[in-house]
Order: sequence, then C-alpha cells, then structure tokens
Amino acid sequence: MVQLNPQFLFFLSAEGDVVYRYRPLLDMDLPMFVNMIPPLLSFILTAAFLTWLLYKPVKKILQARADRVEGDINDAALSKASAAELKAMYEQKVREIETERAEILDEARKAASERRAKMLDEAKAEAQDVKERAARDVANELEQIKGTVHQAIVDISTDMAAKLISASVDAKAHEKLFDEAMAELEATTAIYTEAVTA
Amino acid sequence: MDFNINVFGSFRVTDTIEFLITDTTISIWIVMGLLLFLALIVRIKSRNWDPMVKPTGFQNVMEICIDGWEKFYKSNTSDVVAYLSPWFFSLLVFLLISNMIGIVPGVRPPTADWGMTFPLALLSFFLIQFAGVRHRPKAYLKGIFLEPVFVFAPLNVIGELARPISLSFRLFGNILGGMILLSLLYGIAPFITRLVLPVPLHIYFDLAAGALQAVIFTMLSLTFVSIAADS
Repeated sequence: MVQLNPQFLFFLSAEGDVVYRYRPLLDMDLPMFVNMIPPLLSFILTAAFLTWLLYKPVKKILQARADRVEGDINDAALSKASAAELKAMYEQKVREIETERAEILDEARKAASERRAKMLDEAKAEAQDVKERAARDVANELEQIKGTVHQAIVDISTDMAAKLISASVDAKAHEKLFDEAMAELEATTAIYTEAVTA
Repeated sequence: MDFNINVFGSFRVTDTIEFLITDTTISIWIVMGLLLFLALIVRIKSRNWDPMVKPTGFQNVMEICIDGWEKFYKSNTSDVVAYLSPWFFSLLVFLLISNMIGIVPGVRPPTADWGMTFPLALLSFFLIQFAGVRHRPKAYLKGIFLEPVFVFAPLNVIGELARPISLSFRLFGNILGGMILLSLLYGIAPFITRLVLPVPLHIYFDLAAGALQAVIFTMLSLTFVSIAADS
C-alpha cells in the first residue's frame, strides 16, 4: 500500500492522524538495508543505460576512427615499402646502366684507340711510300741530269775542240777559251746542284 | 536545521518491509533522468556521426570524455579488466552528478545518504571479489586465506569486509559534511548575505570536493578490482 507524507501531501497514522516522517541519517537496521535496494537497482539501471546509449556508440565511433587511422598507417607503410622496393629496383637499374655505359665507353675508347693506331700505321706506311717514291724520283731526276750534264760537257768539249782547231790558238786565246768552257761547266753544275737540292 | 532524510511517501510490501520515497530517492531520480536524457541525446545524435569526419561541438566533447576516460582507465588498471571500463565510467559520471547536484537549491545530494553510498560500495566489493575469483581464483583465495600464514585469514577477511564500509563512509562523510556546513552557513548568515557568502563554499564543497570524492571513490574501486584481478 502506498502512503504519502503530509509535509508534501498527506501521511496518516493508523489512527488517521496526520504525521511527519523522517528517516534517520544512519540506521543500521533491516528497513535501512531494505531501502538500499532501490538505489542499488537505480544505479545498475543507470549504468546499463549509460553503457548502452552513451558509452558504446561513442566508443564505436572512436574505434572506427582508430581502425581507419591504423589502416591508413598500414597502407602508408605498405606504400612506403613498395616505394622503397621500387626505388631500389630503379637504383639497381641505374647502376646497371652506369656499368653498361662505362663498358660501352671503354669499348668505344678501345676501338677508337685501335682505329687511331691503325690509321697512324697506315699514314706512316703511306708517308714511307711517298718518301721512297720521292727518293726514287730524285734518283731518276739525278740520273737524267747527270746524263744531260754529261751531254753538255761533251757538247762543250766538242765546241772547244772545234774552236781550238778552227782559230789561231795562242796562249791568251787558249786561256780565254778555257775560261769560257769552265764558266759553262760551272753554270751547268749549278743547274744540276739546284735540281738535286729541289 | 534538520539533516535527517525527509520521507515523502512509502510503499509497504510486508509488515517489516517498507520502501520509502525520500529526498535521496527524488535526487536519484533527478540524477538518473539527467544522465538518461544525456545518453538518449548521444544515442540519437550518434546515428549521424561519421567517424571519418573531423568531430565538432557536442560530438567532440563526448569523444574527448570517452577517449580521456579510456586512456585514464588503461593507465590505471590491468588489461584483464578492460571490459569493466563502461561500468566504472558510469560510476564516475553518476557520482560526479550526484555529488554536484547539491549546488541546485533544495536538492539534497544522494551521496549525502549512507543508504546510497553503501550500495555503491557494496557493488564495488562484489566486483572486487568477482574479478579476483574469475581471473586468478587460486592466487586470490590463497591471498585472503593463506597469506602470510593461515592464522591471518580472519584479519584478511575483515580487511576485505572493511573496504565497502570504508569506501561508503568516506564518500558519505565528505558530502554530508559539506552539506551540513553549508546548511549551518545558510542558518547563521544574515538574509542579505545568503546570496553571496555561500557561493565560494558551494564551489568548494559541491563542485571541487564533490568531483574529488567521486574520483577517489571510482579510483579506489577500480584499483582494488585491478589488484584483485591481476596483482
């Protein structure tokens, strides 16, 4: 049966008198412990509702965000690892290309060096040929000039003899003729020397 | 001045068992109403909260509260009792509101009644025993009955039983003491000064001491539970 306190509404004694009721602050008796049951249930109920309606939804959102962040971090780590792998692969490729380039350059240098040596040898051989040919030409020319000079000496000697025979030969004339013959001989020799030097 | 608990009504079950509707009951209903209202708002609003969007306003406040509590709880307890985090969060929030509600004129803090603090302490006591027996039954029971030697078992048992008494009286005494001091001040202060003088005391006893006692009660409870579950 529900009864109400007259201080606020009314509360009747068994005899029908209006009474005020108070509960002592600290009464360790059965009614006190019995009246602890409603606060106990109230708190359990409140805790259950707070957990269900407030704590779990907010926690769920926090967990979803934490999972998302963790996923992003894992993805970033994977991407980083993948990028590092890719970088290493490209660096390896660059190293291989560098090695290949160095090999190509070495081969090119070697080929160029060989070609240069070959060209130099060829040039030397050609120069030797030219030199030998020139020497042969000079020798031929010398032979020809020798022949010419010989012929000239013969001609001059013949002329001198003719003149010696045809004219009255005195000591003075003889000397003059000799000088003329010698001058012609010297001139011929000079031509010959010049030809040989050239 | 009357520090007894007003009885507004009663519900009699038998001749010896009668449930009373008191100041404390009304205060508990108010606290429950406030908390359930807040929880309902969170529940309704959280349907539109997107975890991938930067939180703002109310969502941000709630996330800071729960996240802050989780960090606090994890740093003070063993991992094996992580599942009890919502329970202790509810206890802390309930005690905070209960202790601070005395700042509202005419409302008696529910925790200024031993009939409220003792059930809460009793729940903590059962939780301590439950955690101990569930997570390390042999070691826990051995710790009570055989350590350091079996003759100390009665002392250990008394020590265990003293915990809810100690917890409940600490909270009850502090909140009741603040309430009594404020009531005395209201009684002796001239009428014109009643609007100004109690303000600093309300701030201290209702807000500061209230928050402090709520934290102490919760902290002690979760520490006892953590120790019992994983020494």
